Amino acid sequence: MLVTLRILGSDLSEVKPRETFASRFGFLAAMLAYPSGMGTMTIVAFQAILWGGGSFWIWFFLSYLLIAFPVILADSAFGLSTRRANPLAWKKISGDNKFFEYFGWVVPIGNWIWNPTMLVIFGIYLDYMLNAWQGERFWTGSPGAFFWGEHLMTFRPIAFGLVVLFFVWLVSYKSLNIWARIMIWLKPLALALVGFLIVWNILYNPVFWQGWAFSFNFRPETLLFPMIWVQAALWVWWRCSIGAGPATVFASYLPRGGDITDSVSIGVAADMLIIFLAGLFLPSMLVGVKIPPLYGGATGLVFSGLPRMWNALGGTGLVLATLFYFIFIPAGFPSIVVYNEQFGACLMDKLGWTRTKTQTLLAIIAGLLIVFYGMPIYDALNGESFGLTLIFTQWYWWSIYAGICILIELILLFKYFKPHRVVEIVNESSSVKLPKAFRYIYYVSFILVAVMVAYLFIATSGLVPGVPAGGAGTMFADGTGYYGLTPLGIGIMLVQVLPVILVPLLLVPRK
Amino acid sequence: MKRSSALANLLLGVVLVLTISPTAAAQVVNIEIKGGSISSMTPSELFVDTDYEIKVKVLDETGNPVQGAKVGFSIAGGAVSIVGDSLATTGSDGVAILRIKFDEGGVVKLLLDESTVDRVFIYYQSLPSLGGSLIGVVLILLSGSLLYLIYAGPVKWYLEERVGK
Repeated sequence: MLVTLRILGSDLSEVKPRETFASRFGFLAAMLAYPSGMGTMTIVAFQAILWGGGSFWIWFFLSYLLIAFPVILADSAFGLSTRRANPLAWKKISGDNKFFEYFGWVVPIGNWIWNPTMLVIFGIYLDYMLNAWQGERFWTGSPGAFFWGEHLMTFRPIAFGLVVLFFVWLVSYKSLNIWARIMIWLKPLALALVGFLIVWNILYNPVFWQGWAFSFNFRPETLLFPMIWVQAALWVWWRCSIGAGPATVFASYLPRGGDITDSVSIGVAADMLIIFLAGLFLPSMLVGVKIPPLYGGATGLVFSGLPRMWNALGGTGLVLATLFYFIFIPAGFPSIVVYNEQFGACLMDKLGWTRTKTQTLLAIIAGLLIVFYGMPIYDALNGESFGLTLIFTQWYWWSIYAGICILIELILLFKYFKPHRVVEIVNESSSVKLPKAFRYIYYVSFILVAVMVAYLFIATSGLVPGVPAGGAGTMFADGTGYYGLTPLGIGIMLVQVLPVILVPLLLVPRK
Repeated sequence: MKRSSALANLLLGVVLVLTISPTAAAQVVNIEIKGGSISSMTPSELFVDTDYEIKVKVLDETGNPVQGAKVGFSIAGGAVSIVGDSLATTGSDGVAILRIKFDEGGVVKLLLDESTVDRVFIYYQSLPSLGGSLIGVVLILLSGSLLYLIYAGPVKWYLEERVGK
């Protein structure tokens, strides 16, 4: 055991030459693939309906511009200057500070443990995509009851999750540049498909603008409501997983002459655009068939609400359903590949493993976790499968963590790296130059995130007048996560909390 | 004209307008709840910024009027808020009357004795101007920025690589 710990604790990063992207298009591909995801793409417009409409959208975009964009640039500068994945980059930047090295592991591990939960969900997407042509014969006339009560009680989510995992392994195991070549086409494809659905919606849904009004109606006075700031920012933090994010890894792969600012800007702008466009068709289509567009979670929306809509649309619904569930391939699949690459790169850096060995080992562990998350055991407490409850709690804990991660990264930046160096480093290798004053945005980011995290905890505790304890939103304090030493609570500790805390302890040398 | 006489004229004008303007009649909506679910609703759609007199008739499963039932609306989601009576009690004829207005769009729950009977849309009369402007501005800014960035980056890189070869 001691020998194992010593091996894990040693730094073998200098043993192997570092992989690089074949061209600067590789980093652009990575930035288009990250951030991404299906749930965070589909649900934002519905969150806007629940939390302030246009004000929610404005804070959502501001969070991208004032928090996500600068932090992703800082992540990239860390990677470019150290040529290492997060833990060793943070170690080098902080002058061998153990806390920052430890934290450099925590986030990639957390991101990667999140992956099998998405693999199960994307397995369900794949299943629904392949069976959408059957419509009601597959998801029945009561899609919600079918999904929560029947579909999750089968082994199908596991089987299809493993199929998606196989493709993740296939594009990742051999070369960095294989997945980069695929990823660069996926976001544009997703944008084109979403654009098609908007056009269809405008042409064939006479009340399409009602959904726009529901989601985007703007009352300026609500811009000042802190709960709206927090709810909007959370989705950005979660979707981008910033704070020791994967951009460090991708920038470390950059060849000479790679372009950081332009690639990060395109990635962020394309992501904001696709979420905005998704907001222009999903609520509208539901309103068009008189289904209330009131959904707090993407899973309920996609596998319960939308099938009701496809049923109502008849034959056209089956075509649109197939197209919609297909979008998970260009819009959601890249996020799994990205987080898989991030953790794989951390391991390869630290342990000197080959790509094939690392990716195969990760695929085996992910496969076991898919079985765990997809198991067809009924959780009577939540009216769904035990595994799906675990998935939700995983997301719950990770979204809480996101804000704290950003604060810790910004402390690393202020104390050791310095904001002006970010500007200098990214400008050296970018055709689009940032002004020197850009460095001040990091102070704005820190203040915004600190205020939002503080407000969230205070509100969740019931200390804000008018906001009841547990009334802090659908992502927080909805009861998810508090299970004590029940089978669920033990499951959460075993697969979600302990690995994130303990595995980095094995990897960071004590002396 | 002196300032005092101008003010007097303005005041007179306001009084005249208030006097001769007819009070807008509330639009009547008839909802019938039979056996715990809506059996009819006329008109079938409700809109924002309209004064409604909503007559809710509550019948039991055999069609007899139910007296003393509490009928009302509560917010299910969206920006909607309810102005006016959100709760009323049925009389001997089984009818309760709610004088109500919805100031924003969204979804409300029709309640009968605190149980949800159904969810009812409150539609907008037209796309609100601020919401429409927000959509337009965001669309132009995002797509414009993206096109510029693609031109400044990948397009130029590609051209440079071609020239380089």
